[in-house]
Amino acid sequence: MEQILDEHGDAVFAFLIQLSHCDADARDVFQELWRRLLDRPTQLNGLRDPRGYLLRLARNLFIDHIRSRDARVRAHDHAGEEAPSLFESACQPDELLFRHALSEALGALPEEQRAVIHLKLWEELTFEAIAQILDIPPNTAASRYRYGMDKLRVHLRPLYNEIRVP
Amino acid sequence: MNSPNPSPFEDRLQSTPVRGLPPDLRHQCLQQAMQAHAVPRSKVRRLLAGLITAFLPRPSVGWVWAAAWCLCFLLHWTQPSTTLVAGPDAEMHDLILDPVTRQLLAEQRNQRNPTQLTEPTLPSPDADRPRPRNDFTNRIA
Repeated sequence: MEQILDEHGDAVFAFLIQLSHCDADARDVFQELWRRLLDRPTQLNGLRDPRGYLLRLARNLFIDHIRSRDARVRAHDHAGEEAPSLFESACQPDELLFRHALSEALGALPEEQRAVIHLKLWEELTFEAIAQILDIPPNTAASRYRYGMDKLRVHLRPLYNEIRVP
Repeated sequence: MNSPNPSPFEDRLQSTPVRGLPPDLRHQCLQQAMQAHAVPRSKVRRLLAGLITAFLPRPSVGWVWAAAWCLCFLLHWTQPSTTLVAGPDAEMHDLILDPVTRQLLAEQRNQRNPTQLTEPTLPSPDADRPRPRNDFTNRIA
């Protein structure tokens, strides 16, 4: 189990942070996912793509977690709470600024576009694999990626140009 | 379906490292894994289920009859004896029972062995009379 945690824990937690944009929710869902794995540790045996399975399980648990909570209570809980940074901290101020802006821009996207972009960029999955994880057609995954990237370009292009061209 | 050449913008985003698993959460998960390994609840459950399946009979008519017979036998065996005692233990039994029951037992014992109570049979009054000769003897004499 430690090997599973070391191999896939970072990716699953990053995906959950990307989905929830809330550190507490990501931790709760990750704990629930881990508990299920401990209950049935053999469920990963013989899988061709354990990471894809874990990412899909994480997304399903995240949806269940969100549905189980009242939206009003959730909004009240997160009122005034700063969105957690999705990226590691950086030493350079410009890079830190860019990562913060990128985190905010991703947070402004709809959850389905955010999930596709995360799986495509940071998990480097194909649209077929993304479609299997999210249980959507591959064309839908591609279109969500395209729409999401267009929005990110709009949000980040000025900052990106500033950083690139001093 | 996949974009063959990612744009510089995509490359720039991709090069931004995402957050990993927080160390405290990782430590907590490992502790849970150790506890789950120390007490494998699922294995214990499977073992118990296997034992029950192996040794518990399936509910059939034969097993129900056998269980009923065993239960009746046990009830009969564990109950105190209510049969009347006769024989060498009769005196000891009489000491235990109350006088009325003791008298009843004595009467029942006497009914079972009537020779001890009845008086010896007296000989018949005609026993001393000489037996008459039969006709054949008289005829020869």
